[in-house]
Amino acid sequence: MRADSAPNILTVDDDPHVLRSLRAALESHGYRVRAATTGSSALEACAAERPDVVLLDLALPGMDGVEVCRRLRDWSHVPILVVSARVHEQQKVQALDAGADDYITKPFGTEELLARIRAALRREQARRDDQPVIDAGGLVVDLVARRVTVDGREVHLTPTEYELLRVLVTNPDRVLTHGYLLRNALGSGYEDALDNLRTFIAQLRRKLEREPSRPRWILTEPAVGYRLRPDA
Amino acid sequence: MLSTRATPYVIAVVSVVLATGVSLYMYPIDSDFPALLLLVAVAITASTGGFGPALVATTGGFLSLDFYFEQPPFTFSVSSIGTAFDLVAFVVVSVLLGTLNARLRDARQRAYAARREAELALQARDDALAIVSHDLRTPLTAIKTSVSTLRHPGTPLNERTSTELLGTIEAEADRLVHFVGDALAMSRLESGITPDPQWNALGEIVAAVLDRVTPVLGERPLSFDVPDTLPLARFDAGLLQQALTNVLENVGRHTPPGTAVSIVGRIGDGTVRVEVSDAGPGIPIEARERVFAKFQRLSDNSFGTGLGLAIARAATTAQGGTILIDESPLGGARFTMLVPNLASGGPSGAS
Repeated sequence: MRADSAPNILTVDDDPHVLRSLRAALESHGYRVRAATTGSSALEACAAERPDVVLLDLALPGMDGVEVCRRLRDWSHVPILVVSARVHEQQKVQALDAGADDYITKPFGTEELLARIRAALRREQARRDDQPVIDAGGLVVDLVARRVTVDGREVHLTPTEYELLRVLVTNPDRVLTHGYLLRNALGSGYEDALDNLRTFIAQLRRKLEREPSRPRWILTEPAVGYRLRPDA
Repeated sequence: MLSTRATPYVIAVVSVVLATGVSLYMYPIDSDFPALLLLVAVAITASTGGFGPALVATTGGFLSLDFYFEQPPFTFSVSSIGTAFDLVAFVVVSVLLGTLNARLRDARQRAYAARREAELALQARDDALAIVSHDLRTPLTAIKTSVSTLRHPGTPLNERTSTELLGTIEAEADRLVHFVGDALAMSRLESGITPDPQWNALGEIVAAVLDRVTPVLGERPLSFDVPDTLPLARFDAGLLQQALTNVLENVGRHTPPGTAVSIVGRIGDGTVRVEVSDAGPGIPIEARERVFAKFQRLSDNSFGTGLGLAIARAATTAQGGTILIDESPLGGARFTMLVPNLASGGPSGAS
């Protein structure tokens, strides 16, 4: 994000009416908007314009949205917010596993879209800032000292629990699929062990959450994955 | 009065007796006529009464033929190979005739039943289409009228009216979104989907659903009893989530604000059980099956799509489960969802 100007958003959709209404909504909230109608023109626009966020529809003519995610991730960290009328959990997982950051189902309200864009921009800012200490609103993780506190009280975690929490807090407000968490937090040998992931999440919640059965930080996205909600 | 079940057998006996009587009266011994007339009796019996009565007519015809018309007359004994051959031929032709006629009759009945069923299905589809088109047209009408008024007002609109019209457009669009979502979910479930059972913590699923339905449940006091010490279970979380979401939305829509709601989740031997109880007005016994039908609305509730509980049931049965309604300990209705727990031998076991 350029500090001196409004964030630049690339909208990708094959429907001109959707593009027009997105442009109106986003520009009225101070964003600059570029539009692309195909997967390949979206990739070109990303290379040329370096947008701060990409709003990507999955059902595109030619190269589909999941493939666009995959190719974009070869060289770019730009936050990808998938905007789609597809609603199956399986497609959600596919897009997220291909590198999308978040998922919003058509039709949506402008408020919700703006909130997701703000979260994506915040996340990207935090990633660039390389903060050594992350505060998720009472839950503080010191990545240097590998120290975790909840409301000032230190919590002792096993190495696996800490690794899982680290992956979650460094991706705040982002839906992380079961597969992503298994690969990145539990490591090799655990790729298919969804039951292990559930068990570790339960242990983590018991140590961190005030009410482990109604968590406020580590939220479940049924059939998809988990999400850390900061500032709860 | 004879029951309708006995009537074909009466026809069998009467037609054989009549054929025998007419033959005895009109023809001497050793004519072919009695055998032919008795075959006619069998054919008539079969086409009206089916295979059973035809068999009775065949037996009667055989006895009559043997006793009255074959040599020696007025005994059941058989005098010659020729006579025996006559009798065997009669039985063979008679059984064939009876079978064919009975089959014809069954096919006719099946065709009739199939047509009736098709007519009923067509009627149901027409009814559904009428409801769908009404439920789509109503919000579309409101939106179209509001937009036209905003774009081409007769006299300049004051700010309050414009705000109201814009509010109507957003609310009616939300209603359409809701309806289309439900209709798609229903058709997806009806077209048959393959469940994807995974290891799940029941408490997580229930908590996630509760987060999502909070806007519908509002201020209703909620008691949540799904211990996080429950063992993991294997089931399709997406389908259970869909069923539970629709049940809770139904509770939110059909109980007065402030009604207490309780959710209990348990993992049993081979089953996952989720109970949603409320202290609302309850659901009368005679309506407990009907509420699961598509487009059923017990009360005149304009916001519901009439699909919520049909979706809940389809999502539950899609993974081999059941959903039922009885009285809740809180005084209102209790929905119980039971789905199979496919855990065999327990999870492979983390620390």
